[in-house]
Amino acid sequence: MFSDGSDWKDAPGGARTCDVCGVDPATVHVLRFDGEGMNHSHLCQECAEGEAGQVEGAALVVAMPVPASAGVAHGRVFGGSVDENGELFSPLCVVCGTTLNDFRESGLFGCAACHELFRGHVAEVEESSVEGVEYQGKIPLRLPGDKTERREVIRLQRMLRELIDSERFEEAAGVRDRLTDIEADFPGRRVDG
Amino acid sequence: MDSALILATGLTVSRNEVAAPFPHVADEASLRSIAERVESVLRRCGAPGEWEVQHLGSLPPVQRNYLLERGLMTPSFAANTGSWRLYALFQGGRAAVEVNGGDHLRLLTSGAGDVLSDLWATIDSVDDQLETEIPYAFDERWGYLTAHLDDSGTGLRAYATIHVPGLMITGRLGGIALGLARQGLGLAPLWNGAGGVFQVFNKRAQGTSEGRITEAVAAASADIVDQERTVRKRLFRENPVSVRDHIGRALGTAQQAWSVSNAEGLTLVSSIQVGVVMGLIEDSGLGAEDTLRMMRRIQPAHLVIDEVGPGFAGLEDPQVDEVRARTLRRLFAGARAEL
Repeated sequence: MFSDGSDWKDAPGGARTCDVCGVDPATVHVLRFDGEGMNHSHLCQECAEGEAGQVEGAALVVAMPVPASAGVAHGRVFGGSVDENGELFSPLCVVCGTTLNDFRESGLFGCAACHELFRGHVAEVEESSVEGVEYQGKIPLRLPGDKTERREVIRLQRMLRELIDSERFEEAAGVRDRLTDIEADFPGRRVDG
Repeated sequence: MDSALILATGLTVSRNEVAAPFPHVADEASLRSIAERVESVLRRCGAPGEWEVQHLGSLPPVQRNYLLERGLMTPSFAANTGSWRLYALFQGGRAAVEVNGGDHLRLLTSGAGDVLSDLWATIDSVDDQLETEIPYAFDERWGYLTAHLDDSGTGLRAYATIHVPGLMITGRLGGIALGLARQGLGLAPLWNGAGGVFQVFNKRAQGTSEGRITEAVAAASADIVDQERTVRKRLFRENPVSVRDHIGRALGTAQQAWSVSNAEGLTLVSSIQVGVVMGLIEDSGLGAEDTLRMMRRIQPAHLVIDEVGPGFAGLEDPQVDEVRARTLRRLFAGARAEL
């Protein structure tokens, strides 16, 4: 079975601060069972560690990440977008209609294209989820070849995107050719993701 | 003893179709298309009857709760009856697929003990079958794309359900949870902490691999149950009378009570099983590894389906507590505390 608490999600928006210090963002939901009932508090990591040190006897403190429903920030802040006139505007995903405000409100991407559009607006504690480290997990079967070749395709796709972003089009064309060669070796499999 | 204290492990994998809007913004036609394609591929693959596919709305509440209690449905999926939600069960419960929940697909599997590697093999194979019909949303930088950022990447959540009443009553779980948070892991109580049952799980699916996620959860849960074992020994060494008294009273109540609430029942089973593991209870007819099976057996939907049958008033019926007490009396009829 899966507990309700284990199905939690971090909230990307909101600005709840620690119940104790009132300064840092609350990132830990603390439940205290003291024999007479259960008390809830939302604390920053530092204050939560202080609380844990004060527990005595049969009391119990369970620290859980703050659930999305509590509307608590988890070290994430949104950057705004500014148009050519310096006015703030809310980007819109043309595929599913989700706006930056929708995303800020719900914390949910509306479709695959939303990831491209909105990830740049999430300044994370862990930069890896915006750009950062190479993806290391399972690769879809629809990419060509065996596991090693599929990982090579992923590497080349990543390189192609970076070269295009930095306007190094000649080198990008070379990488594109290598991807096309791989595709030719495995008819029916696509290399463009 | 570790395997006795790691009661179960489970995995969920989130996936989405590449071109369709995710369920919370999709229209009826889009949800229907996903549901029909998933149903089609599941009916085509595997042996006839291997997959049972149903609309979530057609499952009665008792049946949904039964699946929740077995770890074959997630609470968020069971609670919401959005359009075109399908539920598919593989080989009678070896795995399951939730369709059009938070993401287009959520694959689930769970098993007794620390079996995360085996579970990954099962769910990986189901994932490959589904991908033959549903091209997944995937980006070479970020991995599989999901509605929520935290699930993107591998899309994998790994869970270990652990029995740690000693750490709970000695107030150590707060510090442990904070230590886990620093490793990107979470700790949450199952059944509101009744019986000292908790779940360890990964908080992010991003920036790592499936193997590393399962290894991290397995290693952390093994370390926690090791601490539990140490605490139990210390408690017994320092105050054997109190420990024997607590366990003996739990057995007495389980053998004699006529009405037992769910929380009390879980606490009784927990205490008795601590006694079984420590060799303080004899002839219970149950092994140390049976803790979760017994705890499940006294859950409301299990009692209604396994013990009462159809026609019961519902899960809130006060008679459930009487049936639970009767089940406990029968389960522990032959057990006795070592004197």
